[in-house]
Amino acid sequence: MAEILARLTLAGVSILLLASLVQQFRQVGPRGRWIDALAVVPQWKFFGQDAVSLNPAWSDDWHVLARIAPLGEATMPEPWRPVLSPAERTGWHFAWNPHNRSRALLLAYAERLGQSGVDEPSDPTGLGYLSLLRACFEAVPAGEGFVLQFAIVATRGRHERPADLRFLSQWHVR
Amino acid sequence: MNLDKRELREVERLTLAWQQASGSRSGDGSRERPLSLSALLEQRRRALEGRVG
Repeated sequence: MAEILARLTLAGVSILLLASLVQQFRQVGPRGRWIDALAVVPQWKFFGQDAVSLNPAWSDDWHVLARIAPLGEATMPEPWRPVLSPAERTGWHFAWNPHNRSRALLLAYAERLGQSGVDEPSDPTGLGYLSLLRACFEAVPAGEGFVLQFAIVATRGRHERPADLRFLSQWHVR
Repeated sequence: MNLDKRELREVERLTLAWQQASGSRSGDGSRERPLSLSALLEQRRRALEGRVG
């Protein structure tokens, strides 16, 4: 019994390590994503390198920013404010990939919109767009007479990160 | 891992450059007639009901 348990444990650990390695080089398909749902695959972005795989985009960190402006006026909008960014990576992240479910889901939406590109029009009734818009309204107070816009920015690495604007929303009121 | 001040300034610059390049697309073009979040949610709800019904 103990031997069976040991072998099962070894097999499980081997599968996780293999999944971690494979995930750095190719996108895991739908069948493989169930492992991520358990939040057990280590996040190798911990090492903060610029390009960890053959596909540099896999190293991107996604950030959601929001800004407000007076409705209808031609004045400059207020500065961008951070709304959502990846959590600080600690030593614990090397072995465990904790998932704050709503935060991770919003960042996944941001990644999807960011990959659609700045030049591609996005459906403002899409679930991801609406989820991010609502999160921005909760994070940035936009009172009466003000409109809000959100942006999705990608960075890579840990130091001197280049910021890349990947998506810009329309202006909205609450 | 929030963006620092340097990165935020870079985003401001990129936003301005993009808006200047795109003209009235997406960005400031919608400031005069912004869609409301509640209206968008309602629009989505009706679209989903249309698919189900």
